[in-house]
Amino acid sequence: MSTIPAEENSLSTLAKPLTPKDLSKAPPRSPREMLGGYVIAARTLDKCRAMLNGTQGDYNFGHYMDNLFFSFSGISATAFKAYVATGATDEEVADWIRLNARQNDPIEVVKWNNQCRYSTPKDMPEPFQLFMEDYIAQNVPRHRPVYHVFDIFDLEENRL
Amino acid sequence: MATVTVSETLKTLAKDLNKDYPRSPRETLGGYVIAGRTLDKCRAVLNGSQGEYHFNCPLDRLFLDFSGIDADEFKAYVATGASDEEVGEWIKSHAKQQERIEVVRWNNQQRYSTIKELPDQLQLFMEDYIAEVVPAGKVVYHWFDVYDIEEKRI
Repeated sequence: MSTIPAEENSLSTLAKPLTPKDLSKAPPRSPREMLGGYVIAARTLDKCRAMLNGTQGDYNFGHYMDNLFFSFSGISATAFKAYVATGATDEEVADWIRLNARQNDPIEVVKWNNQCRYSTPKDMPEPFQLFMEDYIAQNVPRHRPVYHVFDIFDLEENRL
Repeated sequence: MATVTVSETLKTLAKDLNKDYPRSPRETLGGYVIAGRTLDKCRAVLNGSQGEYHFNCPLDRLFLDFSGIDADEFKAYVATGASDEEVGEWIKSHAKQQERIEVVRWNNQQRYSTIKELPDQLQLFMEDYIAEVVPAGKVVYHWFDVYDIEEKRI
């Protein structure tokens, strides 16, 4: 799984006190939750804030799922992180995403959201499938079937 | 088919499928989905405790055909009383796949197939089978759900 290079991770810290989540104690939001109209983005934000705060636990900002959002929206992870570091609220980050994303037509975002929501692991690129083969076995409770990719995270984090 | 000598160890490993279920087809053995279930049924057949289950059924054939493993050779090895770990290693050494991604892709194809993606003959069979074994109110999303619902795992 790709992650942001280490030098980019030392870019900045949160400028305003926002009480980021401690991801060693509570998981980030579900990838199904939306921010600025995009699935994944709220989870990406939680991980970004926590990483800036040094409370990321085992989570990584710049993970494969984050990069799905960054690649599609055309937003750079570095620019996102710098804005989040100002202490922007969820609403402010959502507005910033809408302003900086390259999509102009809402249907583009809706189609992508649905592509993400309803993909199964077999629809994903091979490196993702290889990674998830062991990850699911290790992290998803037995006899809790994964139907869609997002289920992996919702099952692991006890939302389903 | 050659006569198979069944070891005493096999008898201790075999489930009584009159009373218990074989593993879910989702469980992997040697890296392959279905294979754990195939092993449970094979052991039970060798032990005479297969109940209504069959070894080398169309589900087992998917695993055996993909891996290139011969059903009789598999059965003969299982009859020695090999443990799960030993059968897993035996599968890895006898299967024709060289790259793990080949197995992972196939696993995911099996795991995430819906009924409408199955071959016609299997769809025909499943049409009545699901009506018979899946309780009202339970929904089959992916093919393996049929077995997991029928056997009360989900």
